[in-house]
Amino acid sequence: MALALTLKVLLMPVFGAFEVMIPLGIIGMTVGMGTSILSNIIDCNFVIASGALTGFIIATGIHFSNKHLTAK
Amino acid sequence: MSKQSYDGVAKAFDYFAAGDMRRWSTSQRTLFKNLKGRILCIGIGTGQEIANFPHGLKIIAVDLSMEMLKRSEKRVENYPGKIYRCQMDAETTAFANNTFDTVMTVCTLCTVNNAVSCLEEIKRVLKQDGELLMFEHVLSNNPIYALLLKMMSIITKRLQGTYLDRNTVANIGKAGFKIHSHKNVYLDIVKALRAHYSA
Repeated sequence: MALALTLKVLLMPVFGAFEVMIPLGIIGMTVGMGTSILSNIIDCNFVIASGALTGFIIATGIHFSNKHLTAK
Repeated sequence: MSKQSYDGVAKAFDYFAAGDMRRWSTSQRTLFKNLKGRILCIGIGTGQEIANFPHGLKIIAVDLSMEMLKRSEKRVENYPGKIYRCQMDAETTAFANNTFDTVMTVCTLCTVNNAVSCLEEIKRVLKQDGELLMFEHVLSNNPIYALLLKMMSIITKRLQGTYLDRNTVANIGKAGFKIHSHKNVYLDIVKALRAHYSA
């Protein structure tokens, strides 16, 4: 969550506040909470890979959700 | 939030809003094409949206924060038209009833203390056949986005005085306006809205 917060502050001026806050908030909640629970039993590389994959899936979902909502 | 708090926010405002203004400029330009007659801008801030105003207009712009108004000076001077700035509270302006043909707000209703009373004040100063143009962020209808906005609002209202969880679309109706044009700009959170008096 701390990483997500830092990234939000750094990326906001480039991509826009909501464009950064919404994806990073969801990624932070899901990946952050999930990995902190599983951190003692799974490998660090697996955490990074699954975090990147989850992040990509969430960002893609938001991208299409935005396309759908702004086309209305 | 107090005037002093908004003065403090002004220092970092351009940094955090720079991305939004760049990304939303096309949508803002489309909305601002509808500016006409005597125009009031509520919450001009540091004037980032001035670059998207059509040229040659006469606009009265108000903001609660003197620091914000000072920081808007260069943008106001560079605008090819006239912008007159005043320091005023959006909920209690000094204008007479039925003064303006168009009133606009850009991310203002998320920041004022009471959004409905601000909208009622706008209704008072707007002519009966006038139009309200709003470029605002609102609470999403999607439960995941809404949850996130509510969580982030806890931080942003303390740091910036910005509420991310306001149902501005419903507030517009409560104040006696009817939305006749509704366009989502980002998800169903950032919206370009046009409203007039409801019959």
